[in-house]
Amino acid sequence: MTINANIAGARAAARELLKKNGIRTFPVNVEKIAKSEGARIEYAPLDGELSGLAHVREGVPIIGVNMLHAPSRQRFTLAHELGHICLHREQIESTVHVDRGSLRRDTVSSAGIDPTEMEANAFAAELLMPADFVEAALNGKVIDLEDDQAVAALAKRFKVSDAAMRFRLDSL
Amino acid sequence: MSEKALYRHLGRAVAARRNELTLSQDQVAAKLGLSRASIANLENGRQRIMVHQLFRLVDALNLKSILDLVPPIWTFEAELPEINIQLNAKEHSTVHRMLASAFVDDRRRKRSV
Repeated sequence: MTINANIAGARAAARELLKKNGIRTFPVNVEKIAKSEGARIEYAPLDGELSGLAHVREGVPIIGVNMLHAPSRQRFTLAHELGHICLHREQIESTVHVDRGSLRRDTVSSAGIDPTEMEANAFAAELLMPADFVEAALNGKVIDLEDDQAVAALAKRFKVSDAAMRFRLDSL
Repeated sequence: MSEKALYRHLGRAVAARRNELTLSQDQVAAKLGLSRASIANLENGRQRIMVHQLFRLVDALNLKSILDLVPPIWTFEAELPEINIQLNAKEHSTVHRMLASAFVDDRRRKRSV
């Protein structure tokens, strides 16, 4: 397969959605955005590393979130699955799309390789941590990515995991 | 089990018992006050009979209990579409439960609209 991930397109879709929903403050209310897109959100326990799922049934988008994970991770999962619904709707109409550890980028994770996972991650990062919001929060300051405390403080304000924030800061 | 599967289960049990007693669909239909076509549809799983009819069916087929025709418990489980990744049994059952719950709520919501 030689399909390249359309990261710029995924980010643009997330920004468009923020604009459409009139989101100007953080932490971004991702649940409200998903609902305004007509999604049904199901919080339930999933086994192990499964983070969530996305599926469209009879025209109704369904987002499943593993409620056993930390709240910040649940928010990322929700945003990631919403990304699949916005970007890969056709695929998830015919199959149930289950995600295993959407934020793990180690060698065994498909998230770092599979174009659709890369797009959904880029969408989620942009939705939860829009570049301009992060820059506004930094207010001209530069955060050292090694400074765990500073990264954690910023992550807390956006209600995301430290890892997600570090990754975001790295890609800004 | 899906609803479809439940009615297919009932239909097969009725047909098997009727054949055992060498009754015709007409004869069973007459006992229930239904048409022969209704019994044929019931046996194919396409007819959704009412509870009192289920009990009359038990009587017409000389059975003791509705449990001779239907399972003791039944919970709605939709027939799942294909899943994109390979799941182990435990993972699969949690995913299944999550989807079944989402699907059921979906139906409830539609009814209330």
